[in-house]
Amino acid sequence: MNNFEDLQKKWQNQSGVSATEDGFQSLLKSVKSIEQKQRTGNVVLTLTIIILVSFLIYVSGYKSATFMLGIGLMIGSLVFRIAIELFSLKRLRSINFSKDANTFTEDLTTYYSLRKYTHYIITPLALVFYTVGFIILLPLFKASLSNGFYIYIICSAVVFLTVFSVFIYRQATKELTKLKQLEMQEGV
Amino acid sequence: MSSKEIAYQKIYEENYPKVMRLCMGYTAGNESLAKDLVQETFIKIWQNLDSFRNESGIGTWIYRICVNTCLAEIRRERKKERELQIDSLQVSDSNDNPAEKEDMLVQLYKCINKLSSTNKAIILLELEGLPQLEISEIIGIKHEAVRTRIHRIKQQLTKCVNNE
Repeated sequence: MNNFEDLQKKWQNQSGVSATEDGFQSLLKSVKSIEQKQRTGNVVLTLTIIILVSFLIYVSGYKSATFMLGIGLMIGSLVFRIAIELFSLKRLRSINFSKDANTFTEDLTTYYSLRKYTHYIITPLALVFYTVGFIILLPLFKASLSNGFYIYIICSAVVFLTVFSVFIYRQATKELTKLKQLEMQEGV
Repeated sequence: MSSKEIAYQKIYEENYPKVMRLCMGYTAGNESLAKDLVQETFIKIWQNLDSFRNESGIGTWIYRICVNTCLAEIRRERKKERELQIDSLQVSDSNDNPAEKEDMLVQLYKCINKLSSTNKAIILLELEGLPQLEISEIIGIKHEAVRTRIHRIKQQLTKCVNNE
């Protein structure tokens, strides 16, 4: 027969839970690596924006309204979706982990609730606009490209959209499950 | 090492055992998952160290980050990983039969795992011997409510461990 004090004593006497120098060095390495990745991520993002803006400036020389509409829809929907994702990431990172568990759970639930709008409204709309933009461009591709390259563009677009959709679907399912679990969790 | 890194190492060395035990409790004794959560906790501690204002005491601050990390991340675990990984469970007190103590720890982990996330956090903090006022600050509920809840969970847990 064990009372709670016995359990407490045994709990605190567990061994194999002490810090090691190697463990700390490995942690410090991870911390530095995360900071480095964040810096690299910022550089990649800046370069992507520069390339997209340069491309838009380049194609703005074309007088074809159809081309501009198609390319505008494709790039616009992509940029908009990326911007939403970056905004969400910033919001997630701003959730304060040093608040009490009750407030933290509320903040996390609010975050995932807002993500529902991204998954149910913004993402499908972005996919539709992207596809419409691509379809608008198809006659222009057909007229100006060789048959082989035209087929390649269609196939690669289908593959890209399928892979992208599966990725988004899996991410959405994961986040919505998390929200459900947070909502099911009893009120603190 | 920079002064921040030196301070960080001190925090790590002093707090690792309690953070590890708490994470082990959250993961039902799964050492591999617990280590991931410990790592995640200390990364967040590093990222937030500059904003620590000593309003609540470093211990409370670390426990809050640890509990919240467990609350946010625990759901990553896969079902098959939820099985108790008890090989690494050890006790250092040599007064009693070690095998018997190990069995009891396994049973304790199992019983803790039956609790809701919040109750799990409360009882793990109580097992660490934290004052109830501090537990209420970490969880974010009133002191009185914590006291009542701890009393109830203690009874449940003791009964469960003793197979009553």
